[in-house]
Amino acid sequence: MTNHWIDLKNADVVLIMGANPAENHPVSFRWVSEARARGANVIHVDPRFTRTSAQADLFAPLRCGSDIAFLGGMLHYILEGEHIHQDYVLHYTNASHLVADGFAFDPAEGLFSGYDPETNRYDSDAWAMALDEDGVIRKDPTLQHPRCVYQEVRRHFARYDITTVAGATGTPPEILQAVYEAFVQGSVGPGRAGTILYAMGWTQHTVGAQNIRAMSMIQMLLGNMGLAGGGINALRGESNVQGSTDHGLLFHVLPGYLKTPQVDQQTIADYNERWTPTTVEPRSANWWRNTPKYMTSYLKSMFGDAATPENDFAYDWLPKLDSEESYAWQTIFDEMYEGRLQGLFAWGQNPANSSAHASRVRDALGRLDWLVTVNPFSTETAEFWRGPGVDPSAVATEVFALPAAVAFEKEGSVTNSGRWAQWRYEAVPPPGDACADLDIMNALFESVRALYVAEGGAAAEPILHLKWDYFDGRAPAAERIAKEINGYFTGDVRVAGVDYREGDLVPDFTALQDDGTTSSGNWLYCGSFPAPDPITGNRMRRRTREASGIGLNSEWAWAWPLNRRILYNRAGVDLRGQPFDPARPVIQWDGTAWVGDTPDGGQPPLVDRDGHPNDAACLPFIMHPDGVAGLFGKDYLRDGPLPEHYEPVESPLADNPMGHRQRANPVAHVSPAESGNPVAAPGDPAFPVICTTYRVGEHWQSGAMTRPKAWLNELHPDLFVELDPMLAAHHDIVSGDRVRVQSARGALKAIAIVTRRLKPLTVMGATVHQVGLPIHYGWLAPGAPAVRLAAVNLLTPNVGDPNTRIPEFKAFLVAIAKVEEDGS
Amino acid sequence: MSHGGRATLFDASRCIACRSCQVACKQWNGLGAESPTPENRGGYEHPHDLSATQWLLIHFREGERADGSLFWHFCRSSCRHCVDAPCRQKARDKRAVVVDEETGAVLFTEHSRDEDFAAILRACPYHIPRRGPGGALFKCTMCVDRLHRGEQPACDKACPTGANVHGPRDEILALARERLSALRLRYPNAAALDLHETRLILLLADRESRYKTGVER
Ligand code: SF4
Ligand code: SF4
Repeated sequence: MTNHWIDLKNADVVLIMGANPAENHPVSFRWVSEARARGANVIHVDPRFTRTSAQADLFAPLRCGSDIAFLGGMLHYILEGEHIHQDYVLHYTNASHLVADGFAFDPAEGLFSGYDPETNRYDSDAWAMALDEDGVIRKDPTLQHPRCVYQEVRRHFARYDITTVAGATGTPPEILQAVYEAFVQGSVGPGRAGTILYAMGWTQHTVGAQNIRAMSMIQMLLGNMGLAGGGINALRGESNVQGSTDHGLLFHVLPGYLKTPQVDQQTIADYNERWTPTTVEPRSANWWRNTPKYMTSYLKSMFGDAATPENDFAYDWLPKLDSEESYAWQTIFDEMYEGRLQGLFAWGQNPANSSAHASRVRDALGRLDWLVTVNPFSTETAEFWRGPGVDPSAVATEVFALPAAVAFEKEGSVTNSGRWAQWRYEAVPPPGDACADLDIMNALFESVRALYVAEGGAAAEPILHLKWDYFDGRAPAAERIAKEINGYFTGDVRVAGVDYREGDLVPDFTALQDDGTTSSGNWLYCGSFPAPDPITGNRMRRRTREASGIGLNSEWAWAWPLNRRILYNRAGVDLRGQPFDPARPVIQWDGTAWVGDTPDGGQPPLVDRDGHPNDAACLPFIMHPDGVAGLFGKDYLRDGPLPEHYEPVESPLADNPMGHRQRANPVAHVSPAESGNPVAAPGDPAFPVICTTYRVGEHWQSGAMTRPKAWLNELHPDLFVELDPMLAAHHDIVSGDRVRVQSARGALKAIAIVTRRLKPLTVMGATVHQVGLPIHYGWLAPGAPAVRLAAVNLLTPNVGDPNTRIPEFKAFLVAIAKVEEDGS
Repeated sequence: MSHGGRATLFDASRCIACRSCQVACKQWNGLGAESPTPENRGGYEHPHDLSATQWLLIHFREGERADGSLFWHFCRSSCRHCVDAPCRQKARDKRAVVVDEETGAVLFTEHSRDEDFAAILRACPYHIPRRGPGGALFKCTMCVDRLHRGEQPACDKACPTGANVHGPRDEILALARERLSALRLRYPNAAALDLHETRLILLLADRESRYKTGVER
């Protein structure tokens, strides 16, 4: 989230799309309800009328996977109606920047320039900006130049008129119009702000990242970023998934979103050269220019005294990615399926249920030598070798199941969607043999290191020299690690007039150095634990409630970066530093300093009191090298500098409704069919129905933690499929019947819920039906007949977004049939 | 007593049917699951009815209005703690149904075992009492045990949205009126049910017939 949960109450219009927060983030509705009580409009756009729609003022149905068409229509409405926030767009986005001649979009082919059909990749250099002789981006502040970003964006979305959009989405035109009007009306004008809540309904598509990009463009054009009640708000699906992402969960980034080194970056100098952006744009802070400081400090936290200037701070000891190679989840299981992986730790994960095309994943698990699962309960992954249709004697994988503590049984921090790191204590000790994850990790690491000490081995140095002094019992390990993440001075240093001694905690990341005199396990969290006292030094423990009036709660816990509660807040003020919304100021320039939230940089406003440009000022989007938000972006996404509607890999349409030849995303990741990845052909008559998957509030993730709990399980006891009355009548199905659902990958049985909350839609002149099933089930439910409790991912396709590699769980094709009494 | 004691407001306009209240009720009162092999019968509303171990149930009702718009309304079914409780009037042995003086909670005791269950159920305007295996009658207790210790009822504590609000009856009546007038601006059919007769006030945002209240009238 650029904003945070409580801030939702400040919105004047709440667009919920690609999310179902009433069911999946119920506490958020406390704040949505507050916004409504103040008069905010709540709009829900979803294939299905859910418990969120039940609370919305306006509901718009759409076809699964048509979000870019829907949002493209909103961009069209905003641009053609000139509903933009003029000052914001001109000064805080790259609307005025000129695009170089290499960029083009071919509306007949449906491709951007730079596409290589041999490799199915784009060369993003084709999307560069036009530079003057000093290397500065050329600009046209009148926004009239045909190659300025504003005009490029207008031209691109000119094709997304209401009729075309309605044909693609199936949303009735009058509802499209109503949504566009309501969102724009709630966003534009003094004192207004519109927010967007999204979740996996946007990400889990082969155009997932572009879905979010389209909405980001809307928020920039309407000037909704940096304001209370505005922003782009991703509702994260697990209590600490934000924290784990911040700390390097994904393969392409280290903690703090530092890029993972690649093989062609053999020295730290190579690395810094490759990943430290430079700019000649005037007044751009270009914050990532600090990359070398953060990387060196990270290496110091990893290897301590063994990281020296002489050995490149042990940069050699970090693993390097083979350039262009992906280590994404899909790749891991593709490799496993091909027999190229020996072992797997499934730690707090249940891939036998939660992965796309789960039957192939279960096959892949059977090709491992060993598998370790770490979980509070047994899972379908731990027991895959005796799952339905599996002969245990035919599985050679050795499985170790380690019992783990649940959240209340361990100490540590949890970072919520709003970037608040909140410290939790151990309420009760874990039962039996269960351990906190940290203790399991320590026991493993100690044993592994002992083996290396005794026997040596390939690349032993990183293991032998890892700084690992958190478990000596002098303080709780979680606290010691939190301090390491914050970072220490590793030498005596004078920073900004203050003397620090070796061993002092670093006050915040502006003090980090690139010469090895500081450490920090994650620069973004530097400042979370700036003093040694375990209570007062740990700012994540703070529990002082609201003082700002707009719910910032700046003294409650701690938020990255620098306790900033609303990101890009310097875009929420005018050129003089006065808030666009004076009633709900986030920050404000008082003539000498900013007051309110931690500003995105302490420099003065762009113009002074007399309206003269301020040379000491800096542009508000400090993480971008050019200082402004990118409506058009060369370096962001692999599948184009602008969003374009493409069909899901599996969809009933043989043609792209935008009228071009490119049906699906040309660079989408599609795992090879010959490696057990069947995909239905476009419009395949064998699979005429669109299917989507989702969650219910009563269960959690793959269900491993909620199905064993009888109170929760009885609320939603069985896998169900929701379908519309017309489709149901066609198949002679009534609620409560058992239905067989089949995709190109597998089949399962589910209980029918026939409901008007799903409606047949008219798409490109034809009627399409959509069905949906929740993800939480598997055969390990107490007392349940195994045959009914199938995992919905037996159906889903192993295809994914080219940027994130998240699978397309949200739109694929199935066939349905009633199961007759004899079970056939 | 009508102005003393406690009351709960169930504000359907804020209910998201998360059923935290339903689970919290079972958890606090030590009530088990209804069945070791629960089944989905083709909907969201589970378990299927109130019982001696199910004292609170969130009902779901969906439909389409004449203008084609959809609704999906959620309503709470549990004892309303009637101010002048018909179940109590019906009881032959006054020890079977008692009223907690401090809160106004209507409570069934073990003496209810000897009552005519059918008659008491008929007397209850909201179809609430259920008979346990030992013969005694059961229903929501308003969490009097928690109230006497200065704590809020489990359903109120668990509610994430402010749909269940518990407090002194005067304050709850005032809140109900205040929310009703605000709601009417958006929902002309909004109504507060049985404001004066009960201690569980249902505030509905739409026509009562579009809700499943557990009692069809
Ligand atoms: S709702 Fe029914 S059981 Fe509860 S007090 Fe009223 S009459 Fe008695
Ligand atoms: S806890 Fe609150 S929101 Fe959830 S079902 Fe109960 S009353 Fe409704």
